[in-house]
Amino acid sequence: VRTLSLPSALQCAAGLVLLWGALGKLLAPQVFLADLITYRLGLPDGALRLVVLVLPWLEAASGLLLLVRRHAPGALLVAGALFVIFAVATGQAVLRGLDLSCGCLDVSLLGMRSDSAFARLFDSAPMAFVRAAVLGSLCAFLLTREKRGFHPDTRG
Amino acid sequence: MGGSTIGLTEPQAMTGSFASTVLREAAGIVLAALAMAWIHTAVNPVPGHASAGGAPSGQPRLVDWREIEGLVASGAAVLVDADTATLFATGHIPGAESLPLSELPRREPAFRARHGLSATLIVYCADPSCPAAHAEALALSGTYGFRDVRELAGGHAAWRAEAAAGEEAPR
Repeated sequence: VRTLSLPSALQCAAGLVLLWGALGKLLAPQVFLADLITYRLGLPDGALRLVVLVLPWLEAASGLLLLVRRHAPGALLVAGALFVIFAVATGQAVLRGLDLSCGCLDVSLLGMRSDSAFARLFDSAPMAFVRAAVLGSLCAFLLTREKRGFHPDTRG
Repeated sequence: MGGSTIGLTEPQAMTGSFASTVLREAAGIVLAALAMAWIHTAVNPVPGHASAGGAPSGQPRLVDWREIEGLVASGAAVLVDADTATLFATGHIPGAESLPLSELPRREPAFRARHGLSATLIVYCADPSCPAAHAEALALSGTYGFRDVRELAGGHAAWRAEAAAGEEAPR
């Protein structure tokens, strides 16, 4: 029986979170666009639409690779960069006092009501900032670990 | 030189190799994501304003003023202005309620308590180019669960044009 080490389990967990986020955004791109607008990032309309189109696929690709543990270093770099972007976006919203729905993870995909107290707390900007910061740090830690165990001869 | 590769010590060479591997893999993931986004865009319409004559599922229905004038006049629908409070103060459709997009999360609970989730909402903003009405209509229906949310085509500008045409029309 193969057992999953803690770092591998954490890597899979990060992958699942990314896949969850990607699925919600791909199923409801208009709601994601609406959420992005409420962040008031000052991006032009075209840039916002590009983010709506590309970001979910970046989440999906890196999440899937983390989950199946293939090309982990590259996937960890992309995932880490995404979590840093999420942390910056939600962090600036918190600092500016914007009370918004982060639009990161759709709890209705888990069968929960999106207007429940838990969903609102889970989707709040401060909670999203903490989540992104923790997951970003986790990716950095796992990437460092990958580097320690890296052997050039075993890779293409 | 023992333990070196092209003038680099072994750890340095390994670090360089690791960095290039990481960057190469990350670039591959970005390219794959761009390709998937391109395919997705080719299959599905680009997010944006709903087209007149029918809304894709999950999108607020686009309506024109003549279609909803009676509903608004009778009080059966709530007109919602998604522009900023400043813009609302400079001019709005009579009877409209100000609910700026940027303040939606904060003001939505009170709005919901006043009107209920089954209220017919007609959301508009300044003109056809402003994104606030579409974004707010999506948020009201998708995120907050309002069941009948419609978007006024052309926004305040279209209403002004209708009103001006009505005044000029012979009676």
